[in-house]
Amino acid sequence: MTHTQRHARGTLALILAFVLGASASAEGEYELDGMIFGMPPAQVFQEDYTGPPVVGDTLTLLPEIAALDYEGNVTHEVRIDTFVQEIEIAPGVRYNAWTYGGSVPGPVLHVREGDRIIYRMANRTNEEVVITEPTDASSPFMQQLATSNYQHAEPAIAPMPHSMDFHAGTVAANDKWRSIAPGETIEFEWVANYPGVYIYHCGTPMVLMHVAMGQYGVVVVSPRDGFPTDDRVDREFVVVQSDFYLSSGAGGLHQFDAVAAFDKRASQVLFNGHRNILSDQPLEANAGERVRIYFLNAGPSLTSTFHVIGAIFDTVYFEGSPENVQRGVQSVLLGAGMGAVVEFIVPEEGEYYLVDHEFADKEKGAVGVLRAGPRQTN
Amino acid sequence: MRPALPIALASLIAGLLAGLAPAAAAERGGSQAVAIPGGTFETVLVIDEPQVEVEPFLLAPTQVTNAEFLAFVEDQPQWRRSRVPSLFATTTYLRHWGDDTDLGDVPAAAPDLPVTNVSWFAAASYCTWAGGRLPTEHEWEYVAAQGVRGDDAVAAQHFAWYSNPHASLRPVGQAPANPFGIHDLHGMVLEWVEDYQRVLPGTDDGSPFGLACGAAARLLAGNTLSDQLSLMRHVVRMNFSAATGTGTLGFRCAWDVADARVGPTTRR
Repeated sequence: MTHTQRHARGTLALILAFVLGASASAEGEYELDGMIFGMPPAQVFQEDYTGPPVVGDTLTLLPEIAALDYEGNVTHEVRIDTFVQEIEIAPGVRYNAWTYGGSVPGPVLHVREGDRIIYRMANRTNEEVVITEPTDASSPFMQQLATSNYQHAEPAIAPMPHSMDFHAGTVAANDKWRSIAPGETIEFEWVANYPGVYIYHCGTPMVLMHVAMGQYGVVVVSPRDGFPTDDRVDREFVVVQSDFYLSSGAGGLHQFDAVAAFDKRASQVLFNGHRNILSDQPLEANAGERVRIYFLNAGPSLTSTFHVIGAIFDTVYFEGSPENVQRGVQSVLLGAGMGAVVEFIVPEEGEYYLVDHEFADKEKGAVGVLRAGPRQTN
Repeated sequence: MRPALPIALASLIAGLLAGLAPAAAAERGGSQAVAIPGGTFETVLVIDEPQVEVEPFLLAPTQVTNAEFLAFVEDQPQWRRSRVPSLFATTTYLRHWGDDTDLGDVPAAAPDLPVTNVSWFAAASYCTWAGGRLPTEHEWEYVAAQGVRGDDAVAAQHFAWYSNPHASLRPVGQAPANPFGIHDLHGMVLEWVEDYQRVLPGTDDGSPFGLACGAAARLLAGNTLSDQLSLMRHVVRMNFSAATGTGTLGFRCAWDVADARVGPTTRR
């Protein structure tokens, strides 16, 4: 092929890409089994946006979950930008995390079965985004992060295309979950058709690296009519387990160890993104109370055998569906990208350790504390 | 079924790209071009056959700099920031420069740094002006694979760099050259190639596969780290549209061997 032919061919390809992109159209929404499918095409564009990177009323920082103070279904307008922060995940271990919203894991999104989510994400990996000075009450997450900042985040830059895959959504991945370049913004919508505890994560190749670098979080879709045990639960928390593959690198920072990641040799396995966070700031309850934990194993590669030492899971909703009920469960086995709702009675005053009962992973950091005060009688 | 081509658009693009006189390439970056020997290699993007043959061609050892691109826009006013049609460049085009023909004071606009914030159209036109063209995806991969492919230890170093790039631009040509004598193929600045969207849906190869989460594995020849590393650059590049540019997206030019008579001299 001559240079001219090749050039013409490349130009032709671009024109075709434009035309096909512009002519893509929605088939339109439809209802099946009481659920809504057929979302409009995603939009990708550039915007001059310098505002808060996380916007939405029901977005919180782990281990918090927002109350749904509305009846029926609503439409949530949610923004979670992706950008880089240098963070600490254990004493002496800092790295340039690829984040959603500035923390690893990203914000907790809480919605109700049947809610619609209009999601917007800017890829801001080519700019320094400050998360410790929220300019307004854009989300509970931003306020909580500015106050807590337990990963001691500082802005960093590492330009990279990224995407967003909500497991809670049912859409065509090649459209909604597509990658966008640094400086681009994507907007798409989805309906939370199924209740559950779902991971969201970046799906841009090499996915292993993108998730290992920190791009994941949890969506809790509460059942339309609630869980049958809602009225009995006294405390609710969200815990996300994830595995890291880091080795010491330049500039005093840790960096991605691709060989270890391929071999599933984790350097850290953590709850809520920091080795000490659930020890320094234990979950708190009282004897005789019922505690619910929305638990997600984000991976990217390891299983989790989630157990609370000294307690038995009175009720487990496997994957967070009210129809998947288990009773009297000592541990919940979850592969990467799976979740569960676990409920247990806190038997007496004292400390209860949350662990991954695969003890190699527990020793690598997958441990936390629930501290119980005396029984409250009133 | 594919829709009919928008003839007006095609004419417009052709008009912009044509009429650029075959360049005195020696003055426009071609004089340092390196002869790349032809050969076959195994592409990571397997659409038909993994084995791809690359004809001999010439490639600039360094990315185009701000100073070189300034000479282009001085000679070709239609590519100045204030005059370029929005169809061919978004508002980010050369935004780090001071003015149309003034690099200004921003660090990223230093004369010896790679030019960034350039659209595919602008990059392709620059190379036409320089008597050459953008390298193809296969040509780029073939050259970039030298010294990397098949060596997972080297690939792991590159992955580590992606995770900890201590980001800043640096003058072109400072990093060690690869075995073909080419610099900066794996650095901070990505490079446009002629057919950068080759495997995306709707391109003239007709592949139904994009490089999404589940699709990439199908395209990989192997599962080695070095294969994954090669794929990473494709993925990064393919997510741009032709009119956009970013502060970490630049380019270099290539020349067909037949065009070497207009300027480039070989040094290998």
